[in-house]
Amino acid sequence: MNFTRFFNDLKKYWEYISFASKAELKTEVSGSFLGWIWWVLDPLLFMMVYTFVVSFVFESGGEDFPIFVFVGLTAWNFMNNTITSSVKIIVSFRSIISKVYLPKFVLILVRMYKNLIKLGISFILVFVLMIFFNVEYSWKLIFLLPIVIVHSITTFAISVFVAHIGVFVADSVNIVNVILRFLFYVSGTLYSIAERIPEPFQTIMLHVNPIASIIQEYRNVIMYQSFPSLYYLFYWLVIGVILSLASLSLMYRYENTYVKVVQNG
Amino acid sequence: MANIALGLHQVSVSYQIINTFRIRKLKSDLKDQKIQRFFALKDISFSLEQGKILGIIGKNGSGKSTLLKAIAGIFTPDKGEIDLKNNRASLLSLGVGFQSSLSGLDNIYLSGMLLGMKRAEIQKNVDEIIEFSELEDFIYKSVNTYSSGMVSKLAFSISSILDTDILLIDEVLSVGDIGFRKKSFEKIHKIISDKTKTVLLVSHDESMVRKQCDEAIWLEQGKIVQHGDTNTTVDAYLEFMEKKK
Repeated sequence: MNFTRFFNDLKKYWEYISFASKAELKTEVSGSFLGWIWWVLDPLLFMMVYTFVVSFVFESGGEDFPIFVFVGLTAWNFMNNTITSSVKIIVSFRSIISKVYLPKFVLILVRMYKNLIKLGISFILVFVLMIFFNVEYSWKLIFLLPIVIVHSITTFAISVFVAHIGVFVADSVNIVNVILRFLFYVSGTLYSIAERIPEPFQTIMLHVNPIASIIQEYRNVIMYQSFPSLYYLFYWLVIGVILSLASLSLMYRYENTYVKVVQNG
Repeated sequence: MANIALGLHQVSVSYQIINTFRIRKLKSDLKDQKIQRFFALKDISFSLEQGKILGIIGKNGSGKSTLLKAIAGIFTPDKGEIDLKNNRASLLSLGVGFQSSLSGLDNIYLSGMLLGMKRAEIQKNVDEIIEFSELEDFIYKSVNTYSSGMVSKLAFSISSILDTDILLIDEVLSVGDIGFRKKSFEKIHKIISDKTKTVLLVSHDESMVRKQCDEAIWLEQGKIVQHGDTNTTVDAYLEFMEKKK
């Protein structure tokens, strides 16, 4: 039942989602001097920072570490930014939701769509970096598409859940930030889980942390011209869909009380 | 008997004061929660024929806005049923979702879509909106650069093309300078008097209610005190307020 309601709402609000996310991008651009150049500059600069720390300070990483960490950061940022901005999303849209009815997941999709556009820009940069680091383009790059889909579904599930929690728990921003900070270090953004983490912890990590497994798949496809692990992709697709449905039904059930909680606070 | 456009059956809306709780005081916060709960609307029942204009009067905090929000679907009633008979009901609100760093034109689309209009629908009306708003070339500039009067003109112009079956109006009748106020008042009057539209009008302006409405409801502490002919209801309300003084 929630499934059909979700798709009806999605159809109804799709125009708004795509327009509003582009509007948010425009707002972001107009608020800074360099504008959209930051979307390119930002990941590149972070790539340099981490390359400096890992390659020079810790004398680790490999020759192609810059692109390795860039792929990791790109994937991480999409999930991290979407989840972080979802925590207080209901509060930040309270002037809207106290005037019109809007399925609340629409707000999350606005943010996610915006970050998806940025993810796309980052991938274009990845393709450029591949030339510099002599990484071969292979036909297996088409597997980026299913990986992005799984990435989006798992991100959506978590974002909806934290948005729900964010309405009722005042300190949720701090809690989520700490958890995400921890996740960043156990997701293999800066190292390869397959090489650095011994069994059985490796298998456990890839089974409980979606982003760890997704980063690994991105690297397989982009850097090593290999197939993604269909097992992990399918595993996270199924879990992502189940979690999405669970958090969606939670949100549908309580969304009209959100307004009562946030409108004066 | 004309068509019933809207029926409410024993609708109650309560605010649990679920102030967000803090982890540090979780225990006490959770304990306090059950106590604080008050009913903004209690057992409201009425029905309204299509094309009628219903005025809602009452003091501040009597539940007028909550009633409109419940009908618009922003709140779900805790008890009772709101039957819209498949009509679309929207709250006439100004400047929903305005982003001040975007141009007036972008905001027309953004706000219009939030009010439930389709992009094509807005496109069709966009010239009319711009003309009505009197903004001319300013429409391409960002809303940051507008005066507050210009913002409300734009906001009103967008909302005024809102096509809905049941229109809910909460005290947003006149904005801008004198010239625009007159124009916007006439526009609202034209929308309200459209015989296919059913209107619920919340107002503190009794003469306005007398002039516009076919019937009226007087709310007091979330309950209907009187429902009936506009003049009788408004008279009773005014007398009651007079006595209290």
